[in-house]
Amino acid sequence: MRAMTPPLVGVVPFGLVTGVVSTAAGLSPLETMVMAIATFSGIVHIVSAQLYAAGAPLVVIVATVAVLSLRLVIYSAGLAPWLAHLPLRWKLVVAYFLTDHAYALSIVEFTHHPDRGNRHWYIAGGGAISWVVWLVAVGAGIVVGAQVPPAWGLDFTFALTFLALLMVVLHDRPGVAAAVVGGIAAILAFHLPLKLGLIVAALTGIAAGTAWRAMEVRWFGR
Amino acid sequence: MVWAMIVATALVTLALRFSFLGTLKPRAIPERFRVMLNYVPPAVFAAIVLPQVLTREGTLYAGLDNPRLVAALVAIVVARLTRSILWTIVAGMLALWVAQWGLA
Repeated sequence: MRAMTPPLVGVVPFGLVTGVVSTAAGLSPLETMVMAIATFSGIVHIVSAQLYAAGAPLVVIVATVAVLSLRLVIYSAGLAPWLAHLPLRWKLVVAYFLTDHAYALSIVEFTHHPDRGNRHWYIAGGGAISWVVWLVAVGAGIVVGAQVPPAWGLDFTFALTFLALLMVVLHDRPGVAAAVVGGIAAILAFHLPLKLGLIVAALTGIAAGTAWRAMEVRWFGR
Repeated sequence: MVWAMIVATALVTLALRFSFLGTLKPRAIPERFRVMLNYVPPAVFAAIVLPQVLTREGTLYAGLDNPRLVAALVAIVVARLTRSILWTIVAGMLALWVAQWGLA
């Protein structure tokens, strides 16, 4: 419980933001709650809802979400060695609960206490707590989103959330290159047909960061 | 339709989370792919944020008369100082309201 408290402080505002922006994108309260449960990911939820509202085809929404959520593959690979002994149904449960903070907490717990058993309960227990907090926050966001006039610009909380996260993940030059190129590409690609702009911008930014890193290795050998 | 979108995005997300957990033998991520994955968060976060801050209805709007740009600059400073999502949102929204109403 105690380990969960600091990350949950971050979950609440993002859940509120998700409820507000999902409502602003035109999803009904029922659709928003089902989507919150089904995806259990704020970024997937918000970006899909916005792309859907903008009339993007399903295949573009799915592809965009896949690129946006590639970091989940890192988490999956990071936890896999610790949970290899579990039956498949438990791996599915763990996978469903695998969020940014669940990964961060679990990997610390597992590496510091490699002798402790019941690792799946650590993730499932923590996941269940954050699941409840998440859905209550999204529900509160639906209520708030329905009450507050659009002129207040509450949808901007989504950009602010990711601005804060961007500041946290910018810690090396290739990362800055990925952000600058990805951001500029997103503005230039805004008018691409079928709402392809975001996925094109994300892939361009990832390519820029990777290329910068490759140059660093080649020229400086590190 | 909306339910197909919800089911499809949920399945993709679960598949990514399950990807390496679901393999029978633990496997490492190939090195090249791992390097690439490092740059997913900065590229994705910037691609989400910049158009919302620097454009309005699809056209560039990058002057200091743009309330969202002013709010974002304030939010960047607060994010740097506090490293807190909550305080970044609070400061950014207050700055947005001041910029769009207080200075009008």
